[in-house]
Amino acid sequence: MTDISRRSILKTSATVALLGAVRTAFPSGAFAATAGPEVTGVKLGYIALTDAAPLIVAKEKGLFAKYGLPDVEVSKQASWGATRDNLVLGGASNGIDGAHILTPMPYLISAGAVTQNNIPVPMSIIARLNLDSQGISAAKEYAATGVGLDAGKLKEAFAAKKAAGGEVKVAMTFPGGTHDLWLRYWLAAGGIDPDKDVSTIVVPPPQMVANMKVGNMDAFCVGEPWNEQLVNQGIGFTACTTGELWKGHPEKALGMRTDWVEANPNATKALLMAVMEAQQWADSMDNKEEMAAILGKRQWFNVPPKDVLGRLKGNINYGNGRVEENTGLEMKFWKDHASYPFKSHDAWFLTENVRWGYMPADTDITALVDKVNREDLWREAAKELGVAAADIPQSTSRGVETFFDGKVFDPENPQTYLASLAIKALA
Amino acid sequence: MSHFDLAILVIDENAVRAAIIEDGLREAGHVHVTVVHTVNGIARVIEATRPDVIIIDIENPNRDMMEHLFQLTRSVSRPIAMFVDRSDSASIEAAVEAGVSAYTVDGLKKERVKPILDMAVIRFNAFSRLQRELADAKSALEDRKVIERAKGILMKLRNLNEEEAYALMRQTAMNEKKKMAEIAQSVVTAAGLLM
Repeated sequence: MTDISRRSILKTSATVALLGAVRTAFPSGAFAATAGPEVTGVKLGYIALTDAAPLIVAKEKGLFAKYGLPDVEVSKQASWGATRDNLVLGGASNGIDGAHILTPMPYLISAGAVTQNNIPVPMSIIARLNLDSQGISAAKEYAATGVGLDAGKLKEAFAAKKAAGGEVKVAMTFPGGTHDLWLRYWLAAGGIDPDKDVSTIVVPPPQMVANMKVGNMDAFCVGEPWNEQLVNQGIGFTACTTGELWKGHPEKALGMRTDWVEANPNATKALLMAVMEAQQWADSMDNKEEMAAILGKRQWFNVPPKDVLGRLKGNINYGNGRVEENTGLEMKFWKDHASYPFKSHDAWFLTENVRWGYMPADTDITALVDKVNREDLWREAAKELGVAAADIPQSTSRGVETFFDGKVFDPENPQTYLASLAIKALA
Repeated sequence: MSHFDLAILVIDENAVRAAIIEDGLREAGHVHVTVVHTVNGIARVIEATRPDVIIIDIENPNRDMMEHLFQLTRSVSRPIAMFVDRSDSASIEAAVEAGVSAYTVDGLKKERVKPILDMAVIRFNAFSRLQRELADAKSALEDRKVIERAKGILMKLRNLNEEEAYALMRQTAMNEKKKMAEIAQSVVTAAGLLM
């Protein structure tokens, strides 16, 4: 009995292997006619952050397989630096071909601004993964300042700490990345110069809470679930969520190596369709509890689901006595055109990178956006997926954006915006 | 200056692995090797030791913090982050697989760093092999222990001799397509509940 079943198993695996061989032997033969994906998978990176949910949900719910990519790997990266290094390597050299990534990073990598020896590696943004729900947190000792949306309330406390010989350290996750930019925007709006009045340090998202616990920093900006976990562990509090700085702001992107996108147009479309369907699922309020349970799992974030759930629903316990329900500041994955990569948004991120001297002042923002942003691929995939017309933006621009301090960004005129800002560090 | 005169800084939270790398570098003739186990206060260490090459675990979450420090601190004279050379993909892969990331100070020729990086990679790999073997040995020992206990339980409860008890577990493992240790564990667990 045992022998027979073992033999039949061997036979089956031999058959599978045989079929696999046929398939690889004729990649563009009989299979090309059906225009299926050129490959059966791709290696994608993610960081343990709630906005990686579309990739994790697509994997857990079998959506990659549904669109012909059963072998997609979603692998955890230690830091944004590691994500960058693995993207530079590419899947062919044991790295990754795409990732859940801070929207400015594909630009910084394409421009060679953050790569080894400044060698540019062409990247493409094929979708946005989410809007809103990052947070700026401060250590408990600053609760008495009453700091919230106005960072200016920290000014005195920071100055006092420096006068006493201390160093004021504020942490973000990658220079020029979204968290660095939110933190800088918030500080500068409050009259604190992020380059002169404080020291910025880089800490990978999953290490934030532990680092604040041992007093390595005074404040930080990072995505969820880490701000919520900080509150749940009683170590610090949320000064503001980033949706309060700019409601409906763009955040992470699905960034791919351009050579992979060009070599695999059908697989790119399949990947997009799987991720879009996952975003629609993730957006539904009915699915938030299940999603929190999935994300909390050991192999993904390894955190209690309660650290994820509250802010997924838009219920925010700031940890300083302020508790708000149904704020509308929950992370958006699909509604409000969350998945569509607006070119005007990428232009803002580049403008801010120019503002802080990460990119030269004469950067041709429009040209760079046109090179990296592939909203055209998003539209094609949306059409094939049958996305409702109302969910497909008419224009590549969401138009003029207004910030909490009244500043206005007109994507047609980034220079006017730059000129309107008091604190900056143009290179 | 031969490459043996280069000052090398090894940063590794794992003290055993760091020691193995240090030994390897010294055996290879490097005399200026400094080992630290934490990134905290690294700026001062760098200033004091003025390393030409820094070797750090790629998975070290503090790697990003250090890289940022390089961009800010002038005392470190802007070292360049590197994985040897893009064209030298075999080295890069080896380094990444081993989890090593090296940063060299500006102006240092790649050819001179490569032997050091190669050495670190070999030592990193040797260390993970050691760890794997140790883990395997440990679990084999655990397996043997639990199988012995299960055998004893079966002998007592079902009145079997040693050989018969072993054969029974082996047959069950085959039928259930499970490891013998798993079957033995369930016997032990069940016995704990029933007796």
